[in-house]
Amino acid sequence: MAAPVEKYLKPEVIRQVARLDLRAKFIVEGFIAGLHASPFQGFSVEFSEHRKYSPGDNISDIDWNVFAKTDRFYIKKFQAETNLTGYLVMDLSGSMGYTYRQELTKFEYGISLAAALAYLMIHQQDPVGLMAFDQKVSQSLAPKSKRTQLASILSVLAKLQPHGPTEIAKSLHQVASMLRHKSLVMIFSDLLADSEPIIKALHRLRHAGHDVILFHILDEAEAKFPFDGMVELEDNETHETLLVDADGVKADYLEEVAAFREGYRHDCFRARIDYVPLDTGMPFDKALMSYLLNRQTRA
Amino acid sequence: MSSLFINAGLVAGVALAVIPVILHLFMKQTPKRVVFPALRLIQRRQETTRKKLRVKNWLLLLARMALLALMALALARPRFDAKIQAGDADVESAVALVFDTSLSMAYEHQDKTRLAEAKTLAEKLLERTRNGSQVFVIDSARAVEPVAMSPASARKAIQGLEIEPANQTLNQGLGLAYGAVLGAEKPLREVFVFTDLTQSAWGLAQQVANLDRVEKDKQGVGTYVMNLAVPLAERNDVAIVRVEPPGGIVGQDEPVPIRTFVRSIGKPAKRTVEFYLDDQKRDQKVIDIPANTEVEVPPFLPRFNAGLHRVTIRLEGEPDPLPENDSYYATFEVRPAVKVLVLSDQALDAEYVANAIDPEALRERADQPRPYQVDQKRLDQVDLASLRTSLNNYVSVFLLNAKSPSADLWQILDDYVKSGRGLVIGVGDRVAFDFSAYNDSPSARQLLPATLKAVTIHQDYSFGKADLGSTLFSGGGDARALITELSQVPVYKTLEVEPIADARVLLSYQDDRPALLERVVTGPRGTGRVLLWTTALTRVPNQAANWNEFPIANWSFFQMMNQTVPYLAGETTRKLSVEAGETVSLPVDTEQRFTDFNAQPPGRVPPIRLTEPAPGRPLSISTRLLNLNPENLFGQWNVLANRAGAEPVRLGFSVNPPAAESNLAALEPTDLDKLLGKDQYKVASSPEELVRKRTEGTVGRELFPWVMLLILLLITAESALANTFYRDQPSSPAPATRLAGVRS
Repeated sequence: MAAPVEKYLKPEVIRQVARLDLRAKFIVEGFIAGLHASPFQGFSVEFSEHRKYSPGDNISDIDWNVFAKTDRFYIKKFQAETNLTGYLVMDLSGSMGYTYRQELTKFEYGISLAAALAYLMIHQQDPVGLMAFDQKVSQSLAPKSKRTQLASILSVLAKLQPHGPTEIAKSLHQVASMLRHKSLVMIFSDLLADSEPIIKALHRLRHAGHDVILFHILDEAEAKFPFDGMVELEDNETHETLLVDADGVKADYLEEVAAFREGYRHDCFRARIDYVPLDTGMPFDKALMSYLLNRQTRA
Repeated sequence: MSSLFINAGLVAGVALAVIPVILHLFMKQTPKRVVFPALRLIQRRQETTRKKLRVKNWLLLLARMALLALMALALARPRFDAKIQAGDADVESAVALVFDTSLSMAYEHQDKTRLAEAKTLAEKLLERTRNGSQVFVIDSARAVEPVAMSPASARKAIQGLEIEPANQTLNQGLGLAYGAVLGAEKPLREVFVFTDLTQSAWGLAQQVANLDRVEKDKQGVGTYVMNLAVPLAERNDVAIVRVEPPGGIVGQDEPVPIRTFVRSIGKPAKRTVEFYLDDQKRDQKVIDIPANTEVEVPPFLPRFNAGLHRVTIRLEGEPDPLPENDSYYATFEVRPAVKVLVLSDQALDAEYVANAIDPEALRERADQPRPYQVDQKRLDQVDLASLRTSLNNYVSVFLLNAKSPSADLWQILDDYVKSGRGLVIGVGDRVAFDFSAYNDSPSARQLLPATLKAVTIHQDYSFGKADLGSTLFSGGGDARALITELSQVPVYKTLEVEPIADARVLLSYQDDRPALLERVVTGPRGTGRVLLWTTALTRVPNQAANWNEFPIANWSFFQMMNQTVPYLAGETTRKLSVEAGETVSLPVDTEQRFTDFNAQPPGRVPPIRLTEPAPGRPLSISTRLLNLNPENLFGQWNVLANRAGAEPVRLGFSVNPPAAESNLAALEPTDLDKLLGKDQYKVASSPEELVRKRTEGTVGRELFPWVMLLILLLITAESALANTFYRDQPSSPAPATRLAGVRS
């Protein structure tokens, strides 16, 4: 049985939590509980300086090597690596607002994940910023590591609404041009557009020295195609329709989805971009783990 | 059409098959609309999907149309192979009942003969036959045109049927039955054959009359064969299958070993075989008979005095289901030694034939029986006038290697043969150079079966095929062994001949040239036979000049000569023991003044007065026409030819059941197919099966279960196809699509 906090890793549970800040907190705490070790030590901070021991300090922090040389108690002081600036890049396309089974939409899944990552990064004292785009970058929030930054990010995320068509590649180019320092760019999108220009835009981000994590979010229905019988499918961005025999087309479609994801996975691998294929039925820990692994590599 | 469906009106329901088309055209179902952003991924495969969809749509439409059409058909209850209109199951009909009344139908099983079983079944059948129907009852023993009867009269006629000792084939009865029902103006026509299906009851080489009319007839005739045979596992019967010799003429004091062959069908049996001579028990043997095996009983060796003798052989032991074949009756007529004359130019030419027929060793011993006494005469010493008068003492004459028989001699021999006697002509060196005495004499031409042409010399040459249909071969011992022996006789010279039109070749050489020819010559006092050998029946001292090694090669010469004399005397063709149905011919001297001829059957029935024979003809008695039941027919018959002022002449013969009736082997289905046509008849082995097959044959076989099975399969197929297209969405979770900020 999952621990009480670990249940918040499940989308169907987290959707019942209305406040985004709580969602972020619960997701992170659930994730941490599942790890059985703190993610905040060992790989996210480094030694900074010594100071004299004073009563109340943790005895385990005493540097015994210094005591051997000086016969005095000194405490090791650690400092977070503050060079890692994170950007949460949200896709506001209309397709992101889609859900089939009335769970989380792709966008809701994305902002839950983004909020959790923001929470995690702020806790690590990493500056984190936010960008949202549709046909261009429409919202942005400069990265900061203050605790208040979390509230700001969550506030913006909560207000974002997916709508209309999008220009993912163009927007990513814009993001690349907006970033001045090497950062960790975390993109949340369903990538339902031509893949070639998107890959080019991702390459540009990499060439600029940014680390990129691409969270490719599909709806569970898009990933598994649970339809049967005759269905008329409608693209909610272009409003094109297509009459299909769901049973007949299912195998072909799943092959196409697999090829679609495999294409991105392959290109991202070559560009050393972390590609995280997700669907709205998947727990959040996979995405969080991907971030942490990336963070560890940089540390 | 109406006869194909029980509810013909409902066939119109097939038109409902258009409903799916109408629904398809006018009420096309709107598929569920679903928002699906990843549409672009599907569009890449759109064309393949569309084609598949179209095919499935057509299949679904066809399945639904077929489903409705089949439902309508099922309600109309289609039938197959129906003979009558729907709803006419109880119609007036023409029914022919053919009964096999042959002896094998007397087989008793569960205290009931096969014929009694047939009667019971037929009565049940008649109970189901509507009044007003025409019934024809045909007895296989009496193949006569049947008369139409009411079912009630037919029941009485059936009760009167009995086992008949002599039977016609069922083919004939069936032919008459077809003719009768085809002539009846009834909506339903059926022929039922009640038989145990034994091979002997059917004529396999015989066509069934009127079968072609049945095949051409639109309405058709239902043919049902009721198989009344006892199941093979329960069948058992011990029978005397044959006796050798079967009876006939034997020489006085001649030893006649009587060999009896017994067979047991079904299971091993133990029987006592009793031998009676002139109603006195003379011998008995106890034998064990293995199952389905024929065994020979140690021979019975009676000693016959002159006159008529009756031999009866009986099987005693356990009760038998077919008692008729447990007895055999034989009549032997012991005649005094007959005389044979051998004429030749040289004494040596007569020696071999004379010694073969009347061995020298027997001639010198008075205590040994001599069936034939041979007189040899040289032609140059014969007084033709005395020969003419003395010839009547001889039953046959051999004319051997005679160089130039005179026209007078030919004339005497011609008269002799025309009095019903036999002449054998053998050639040799003396004949070889001049055939004029044989070819030119008018009297000779009256007798000879061929014109003599030339002498031919051969190497590695011998006798070949023989005409086994002639009693010259079949009337004696083992004909096949004799022919084998003949085929090993070296022949060096033969006479080329040109047979006359009515000559019969009894024996050929290996290249099919004639070796022995026969001509039958009929005169006012009888019918005689002339045999012509185209090789010599003698030998000469000079080995190189011999025509063959026939007289000395093996025992074939001895046997041929000894079979020739009784053959020419008519003894081999005179059957004194006949099977029921055969005709007995008893020679009588018609020059005597007989007042009447009376035959006394074996049973307690009054004597039967016989028709007086024509002059020169034997007394002929057809056992078929005697119209007696088996008890009064099988056995020893006495015939008295009464004369005015003189003792009556006592004659006799024996009648046995047909040997074929003891063979209970069943007819093969393929044989029945050949006789009645494949699928043109139905065989039933029980009353229930007969009823079922008759119902199938008249009302037809209902196809309802098959149609229903098809419907079920179609429903399954339709369901599978339909679910593929229009399956309802799962009720939970809710099917609606929520789009955050986007029109749904």
